[in-house]
Amino acid sequence: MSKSTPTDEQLLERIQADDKAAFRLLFDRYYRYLLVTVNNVIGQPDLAKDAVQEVFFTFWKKRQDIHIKSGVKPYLRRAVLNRAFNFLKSRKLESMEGPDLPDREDESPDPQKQLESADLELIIQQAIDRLPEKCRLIFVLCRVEGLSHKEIAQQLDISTKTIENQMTKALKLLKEAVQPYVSKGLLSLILLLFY
Amino acid sequence: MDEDFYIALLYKRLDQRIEPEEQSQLEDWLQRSEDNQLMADGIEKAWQAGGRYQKPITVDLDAEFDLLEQRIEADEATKQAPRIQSRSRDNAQRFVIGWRIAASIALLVIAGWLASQWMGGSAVEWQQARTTGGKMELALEDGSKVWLNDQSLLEYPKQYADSERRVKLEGEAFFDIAKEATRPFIIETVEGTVQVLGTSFNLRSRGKGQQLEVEVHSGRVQLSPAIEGKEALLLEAGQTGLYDPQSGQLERITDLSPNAASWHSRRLIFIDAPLSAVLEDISQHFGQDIQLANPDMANCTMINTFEKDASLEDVLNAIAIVFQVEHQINDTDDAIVLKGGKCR
Repeated sequence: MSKSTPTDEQLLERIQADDKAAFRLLFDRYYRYLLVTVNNVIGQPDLAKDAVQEVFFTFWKKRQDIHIKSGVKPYLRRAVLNRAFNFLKSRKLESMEGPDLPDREDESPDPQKQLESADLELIIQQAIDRLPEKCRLIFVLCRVEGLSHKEIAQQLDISTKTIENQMTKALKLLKEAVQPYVSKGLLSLILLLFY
Repeated sequence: MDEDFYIALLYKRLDQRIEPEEQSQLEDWLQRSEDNQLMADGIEKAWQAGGRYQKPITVDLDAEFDLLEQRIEADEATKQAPRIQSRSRDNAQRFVIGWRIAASIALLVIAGWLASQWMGGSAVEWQQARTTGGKMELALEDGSKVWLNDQSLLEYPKQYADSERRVKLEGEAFFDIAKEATRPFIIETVEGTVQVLGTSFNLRSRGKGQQLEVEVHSGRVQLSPAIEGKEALLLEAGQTGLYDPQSGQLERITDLSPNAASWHSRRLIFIDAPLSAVLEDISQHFGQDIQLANPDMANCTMINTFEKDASLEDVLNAIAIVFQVEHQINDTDDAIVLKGGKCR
């Protein structure tokens, strides 16, 4: 590691010695990553920004009490995820075990129009955003944030069976979003453009 | 055939948790038709692309860090001085007219006391700038500029000390302080000192026992009450610090009126401002008590800018046209009273 780029551990040490400049470096290093993570989960930019603010605020305030075993990045990631889960709990996602709400009735995107943008990432991104909220949340936690079924079950107070069902549902709905391109043999073309 | 069952198996395969017998079950199904294969392809694409999902969000690192720093500083200041409060100034509270006259009388009373406090035992040679019936612009030794409002007194050394630049103020002045990292600029008033960490601000000291007010226009300013053990309040651009020695309260106000230092900028700006606030700013700017006879008018709003040369008469005439009010001078206390009128 060169002198100009201190490691996370070096930064932490400096932060614990009240070095605000080191705190700024750490902030710059992980702010975006943490914001994207929490925004993916709760899907509300303002609340996501608040959550990351809280995490850094607490990090500085409690800097003397912080003992990190597994690395600064996982520590911060864990902290924002906990904030996200607290938010989700406070919002009491309409009983997770209950029946799904009807799918959102957003007008289906016109495949031709979407194709013009030829952006599979965008198609999927929009399809994920159109999933029923419970379904979207579980897909993001599983697939995007890579949390285990066990942990999600615990945090959201639902069964692993529910998670399995919701993931199946999510994949089915997302498949439908990409299917027009698959059946017309277009997806391979799109994929060629992007891989 | 239950489609969901096979999607569940496809999911397990993608998630690398599929059992051997499930695997062969799935392969049988895939062999059965091209549609099944197509569906599996679709699921896999969705899985792959979905893994790179990122909900769009704009990131402004500097703004977010500034916000964070403000919170940290406010928190640290609060920890030190538990009585600091944060609140918005409401119009009713702002509608205080005529303090300027009262304050200037108070200042005369305390002048003697100050002289004994400040002059005693000091080897520094002090100069005085005093305004009676006008404003004054001063250039200090370090390049700092001070605009002294009417009825105010600034004392400053012929030569600053090595470690600090200390001056003393009674009354009101706008400061534009030259940056010197090694020598803080300190302004003493009777009720507290202001230490400058940055650049420009308006300071209003009304006298002993009276409220001390700092409006920060740029940079950072530290306000320290003249009481031992009382902690300081760090203020940022756009914030006002108020210290009330009577109650001991040290407050931070975050909505700075654009006219807070109008006497210095000599321009009054009103954007959707309620009439009560407009009149308060005008009262302060011209040092003239103005009252509103009809309280229903207090919340009528106006948009207007009065430039440098506008007289009190010009401003009142403009308001008269906008709100159809009449103004007359009250014989008993020389206050101008606005009568009648209606919101547009």
